[in-house]
Amino acid sequence: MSLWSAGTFLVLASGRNRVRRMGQRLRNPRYLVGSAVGALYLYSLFSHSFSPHGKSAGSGLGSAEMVFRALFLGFLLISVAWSWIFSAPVPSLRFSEAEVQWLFQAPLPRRALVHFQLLRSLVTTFFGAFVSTFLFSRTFGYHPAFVFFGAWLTLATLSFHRTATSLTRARFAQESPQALRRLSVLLVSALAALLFVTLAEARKLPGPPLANADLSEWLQFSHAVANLMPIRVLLFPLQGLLNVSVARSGRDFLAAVPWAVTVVGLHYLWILKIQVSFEDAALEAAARRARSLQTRGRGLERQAVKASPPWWKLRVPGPPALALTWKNLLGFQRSLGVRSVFRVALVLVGLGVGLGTLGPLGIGGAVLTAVVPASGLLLLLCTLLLPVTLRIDLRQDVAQLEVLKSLPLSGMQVLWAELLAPAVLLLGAEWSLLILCALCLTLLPRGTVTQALPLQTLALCGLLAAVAMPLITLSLLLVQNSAALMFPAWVQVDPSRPRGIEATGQRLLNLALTLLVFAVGVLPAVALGAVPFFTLRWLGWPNVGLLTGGLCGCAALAAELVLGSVLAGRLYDGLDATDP
Amino acid sequence: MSLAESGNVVDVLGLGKVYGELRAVEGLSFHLHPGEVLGLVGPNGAGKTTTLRCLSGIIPSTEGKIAVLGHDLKSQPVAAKRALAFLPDEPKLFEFLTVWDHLNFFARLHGVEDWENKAAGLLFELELSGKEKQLPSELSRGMKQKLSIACGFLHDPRLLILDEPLTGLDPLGIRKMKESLKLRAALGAGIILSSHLLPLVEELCHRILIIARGRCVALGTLDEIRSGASSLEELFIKITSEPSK
Repeated sequence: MSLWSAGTFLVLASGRNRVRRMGQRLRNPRYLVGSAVGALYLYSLFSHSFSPHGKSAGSGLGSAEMVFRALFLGFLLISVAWSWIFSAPVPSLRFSEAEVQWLFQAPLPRRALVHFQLLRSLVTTFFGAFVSTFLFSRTFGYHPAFVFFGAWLTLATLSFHRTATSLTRARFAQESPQALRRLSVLLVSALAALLFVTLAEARKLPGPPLANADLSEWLQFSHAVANLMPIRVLLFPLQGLLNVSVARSGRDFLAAVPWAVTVVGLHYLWILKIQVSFEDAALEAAARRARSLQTRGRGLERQAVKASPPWWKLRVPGPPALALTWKNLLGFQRSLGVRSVFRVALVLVGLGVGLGTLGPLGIGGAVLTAVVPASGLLLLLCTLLLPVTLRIDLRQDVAQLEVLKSLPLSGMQVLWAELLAPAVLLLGAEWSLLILCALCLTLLPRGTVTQALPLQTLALCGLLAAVAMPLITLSLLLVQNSAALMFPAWVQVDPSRPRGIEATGQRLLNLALTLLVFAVGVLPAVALGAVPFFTLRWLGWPNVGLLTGGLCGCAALAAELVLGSVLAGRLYDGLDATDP
Repeated sequence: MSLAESGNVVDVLGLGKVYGELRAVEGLSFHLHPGEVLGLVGPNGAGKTTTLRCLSGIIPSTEGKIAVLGHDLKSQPVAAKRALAFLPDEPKLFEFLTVWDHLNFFARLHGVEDWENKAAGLLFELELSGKEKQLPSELSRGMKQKLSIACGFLHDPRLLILDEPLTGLDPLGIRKMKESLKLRAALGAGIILSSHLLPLVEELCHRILIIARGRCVALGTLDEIRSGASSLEELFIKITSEPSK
């Protein structure tokens, strides 16, 4: 039996059994509800957020189509850049442990293993293209068959490109560290040259819209940027892929396909041309993935963990429970990939400075104008969303309950020590963003962003936010951790970790229920704060009312938090660590 | 005499654990004296692990009383847990902590003074020297087991509860582990050991508790419960194959 027939059988049989398993899981209400919510969410997201009113009519591009083109090309560009900048210099050919065991010892040439991988990526992208067709063809009025074929070729190209870049980088790395460094220097130089030429060309443009500009202004600006000569050259191969999906007639489609197929074919030849050893990396990656499947979800992506020295030394003796906080922070540190965060920050700063040079307020003004709403948005995310997604607390340790329960600590001690790690990180981020926001507001000329509130009231709001944020963050963390103790399956701590639409639905439900419980819990605090606020405002002291009301609300929330943690601590104490 | 005044390492009175309709453990009573090693044996599903988990406070018992060094496990769980260490058959380690971080973590939890010297000694004893900076993912199954044992031994517990402690260890590791357990018992620690390796139980344990279907079917020294059987294996098969009364 050739690898083609054996590989096809393996891929198809695995796919069939996965679908069957998904169907069986739907008998479980948890997955059924999760899938329904996930499907509704995706439908609403893609069917309604881009209204089809701006469809292409005549010669000009409608705003919906411009959004689609901008998203498509932006996605491709970021994916390509990502594979060059962030991928590790190791071959990214992914095999499961079983495939490593049985295919690597089979009497097959190495090229056959590469073909097996490419075949699998074609099947995977086939499903991706199907979903893309469902999402985009109706919304933007494109022909479903064209969208499907175009999306398949595009996704296949991206997959091949990722493989090819990883193999190329691995080949340089295997040659010598200096060779890899030379490649990086070459790439960075090319990127810098491109950026320089682009910025020089961009000076002819009128400048980016301000933060409060509407979508059409931004679209016009992005369209103008995409039409700059260096960007057009860069986007040329990607534009060829896009043309297949957006073809308006059979003739357009037939004209676009040869170029797109050529792009895929060139990538295929590129992969075959590179002779590089991938077995060791595949073996290690397979083992790592298997381990990661055995662990539970915790909001941190499993990467190659490195045992870096702890940021904070754990002294002995000391409060015993803080050992749990230390453990969680250390886990965060080691799984974070500080280097990746640093790279992302560099790219963002570079983009900000690049945009800033074009703006009417100069670099400083543009950056400050952009920072205020961005930090406000991040602040909201940190306060309301990250407590749900950052799982470096009891949620990650539910699978280790056997160990936790045997520790000489009470339920309250365990709970607070576990909550402290995400709370410290989130609070640090929240206060930093608040200070950043305040600094930008004081540096900007009055009225650039807002003048709705007087400065004194704005300062009071900031102060109250600084007091309220830790309480809100801790409350949300408490709700999530209590839920993990009461309904572990709903907080996704089980090792099987469903993926796809059902997991999306479960996450959404989890978020919605957490916010609902939080909203109900916060009502007494709001009521208690509203009384002095409105009374003092009525008496003519609005700022005193704001301060008093805010502090009363915070005090009420703090009392609720203490009560909630006592109840959750008792829940932990009475928990049976082996209950199914 | 109350449980608190007995002077025993462990006093168990009428222990029971129910899961819905299933009575996993029922009416189990025994005592463990300082320096004594008690072997817990029984067929698969007999309730051994459930019993060990109840004894270490991991799961609450449904009936009965457990006292560790006189501390009631229900009303004084923290004091009771300070005196014990539970080592499960499958080592449970934190994936982001290195070998040395694990020992630091447990030292802080139990307030172990001079922990660094003790930890280094344990790592040497368990042949883990040189692995201090490695993460659990970089250790073999046997090394993980040894690290779990080192963490359990670090605070010199008065009560050691071990579930299949030799799983994954190499012959030298098994020998060292046996010596280590004998030494700890000689120093006054009480040890409860569950294993399917009957020769190990025969070699190490002063008394043997055989359970089947969650109930005690025999408790005593090997001579006391032998009743004509030539070995523990023969006795085990004889007792556990008897129909339920």
